[in-house]
Amino acid sequence: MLYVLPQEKLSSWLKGLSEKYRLFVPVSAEGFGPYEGELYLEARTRLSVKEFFLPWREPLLRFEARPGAVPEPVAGPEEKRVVFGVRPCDAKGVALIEKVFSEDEPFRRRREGTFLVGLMCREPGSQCFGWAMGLDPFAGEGLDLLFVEREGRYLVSLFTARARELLDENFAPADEEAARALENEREAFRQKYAAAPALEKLKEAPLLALYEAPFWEELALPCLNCGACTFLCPTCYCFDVQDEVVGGEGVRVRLPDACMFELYSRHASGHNPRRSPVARFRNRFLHKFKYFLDLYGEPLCVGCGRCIEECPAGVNLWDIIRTMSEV
Amino acid sequence: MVAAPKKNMIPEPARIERVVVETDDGLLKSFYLRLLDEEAHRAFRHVPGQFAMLSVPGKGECPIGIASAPSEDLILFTVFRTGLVTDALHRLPEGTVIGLRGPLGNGYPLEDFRGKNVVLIAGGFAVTTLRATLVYLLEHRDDYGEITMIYGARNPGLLLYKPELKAWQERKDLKLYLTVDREAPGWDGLVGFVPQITEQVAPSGENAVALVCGPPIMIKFTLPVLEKCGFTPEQVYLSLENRMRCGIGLCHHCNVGPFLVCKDGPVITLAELKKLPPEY
Repeated sequence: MLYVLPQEKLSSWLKGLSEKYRLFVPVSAEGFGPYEGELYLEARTRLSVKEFFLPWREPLLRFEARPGAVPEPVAGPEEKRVVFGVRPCDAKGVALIEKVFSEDEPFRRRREGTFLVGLMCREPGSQCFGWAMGLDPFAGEGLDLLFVEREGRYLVSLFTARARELLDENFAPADEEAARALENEREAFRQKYAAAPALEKLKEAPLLALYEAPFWEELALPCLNCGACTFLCPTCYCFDVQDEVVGGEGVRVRLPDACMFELYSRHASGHNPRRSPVARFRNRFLHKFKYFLDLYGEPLCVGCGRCIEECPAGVNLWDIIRTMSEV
Repeated sequence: MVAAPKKNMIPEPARIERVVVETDDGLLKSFYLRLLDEEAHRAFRHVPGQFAMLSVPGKGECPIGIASAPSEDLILFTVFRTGLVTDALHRLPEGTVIGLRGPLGNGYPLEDFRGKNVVLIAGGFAVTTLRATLVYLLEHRDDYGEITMIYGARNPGLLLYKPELKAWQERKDLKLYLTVDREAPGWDGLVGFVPQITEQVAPSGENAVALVCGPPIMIKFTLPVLEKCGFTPEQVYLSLENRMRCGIGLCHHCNVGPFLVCKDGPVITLAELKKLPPEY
């Protein structure tokens, strides 16, 4: 279903939503925050919507810090949330993570309690290559609604039945002309931006040939193994589990981790199957562009370009994909 | 929408019913556990080769192979004291409640081994899940052909499950070869490393499977011996271990290429392992 919302009605709709749900919007170039009238819609934010589903801290258990204490499970959040202004690439990131986490209780609870309302970018960002990773931003993957700005109004696609409850009287069913305009825009996008042939080549490349390829040392040379890319990535989902104890109380939390760190794979014995920085670098990209690709048919990357923009050492993901695909 | 089966990381409370110090150096202790919830305890079903996460509040969780057979009442874990959690575990007295999450992983496909000769090769304290396997095999003795076990430790004081080893040595339907690395006072059994003893025993690969658990160096030198004996990579089963956090295929710490030790393993055939990057 397609609806039309006049652009000047956006803030009154958001205000209405914020009275019924916890509403989050992009508040600055940094990221999302609670809606308080401010909106940053110029471009995608530095932090993605991943943190709504894999938060910086996910408490699992509470316990008294003494031997023999029986921990109490922590019930996750119950509230209903709406996140507005989600870029299609970020929503796709959530959909990719969901392939792995669909049965995970905390993830499911957050996913089921959260509406994602998308906003199409006017132009691809300078470092974006979502389409090359097979992203169709019009497809609505991971989204409940998608807003496409066009001539002073939003064309709003509805992707899930549950999202009807978000619409108010300001939304009118779109006429045929609007539907055709959106379809044309989608077609034009497809014509202009195709998936990279690299993906097909990577699917066919033998796993061990990729692993043993001679280029890893050179590709990994500038990498500092700082992990910034993994925390900013909308698809990286690895986590650590820690018991935090303060005074007599403890809580077991799940928190994002990074495969770039030496401790990530180090055994209690001291043995480490990925001791060298190169091995960790290689594992990260093989996971994204081979292991995940083979298992799910898609790479674990949405081409948002954050890792390229934020890498302190200038590692360019696109160079890595291209080099890998030429094995 | 059909609700998917729930997966969570919530441990079940389990009481330490008995602690046995297994080795002379005191670094290995056996913990016999009973889930506090009687129903859950009765319903606990595992396959030899599977593992569980043991949990000490305030310290964390760690994966440990299940050393008891499915038929045994108490759930047995023999734990080497080596890290934060295992150190805390070793300090706990009998009667203490800890957390248990499992069974996890795949286990050995023992049904598929029916009618075959089974060779168990263990080095050091990696023997634990092979103990579970051997108890199972002996309980279903008629379903299997010859059963051979080769088990080595650095010295006699480091052999686990000594009372059982004695009983097993007396069985006519089990060939048990115990060995230690060097001559030791009071030891009149075999002397030599596991690969050498395997070479002497020379189990036939015909209609057989070999299950190998031990330190990497033992495995490295045992595999060529098995190959010489006629075992194909499809007939050799190994059990991997890697650092892991969740045990249910989410956190990705334990990956060996696309293979997740916690979910796709820990048991893997040599044939499958050869297709993976050597990151274990």
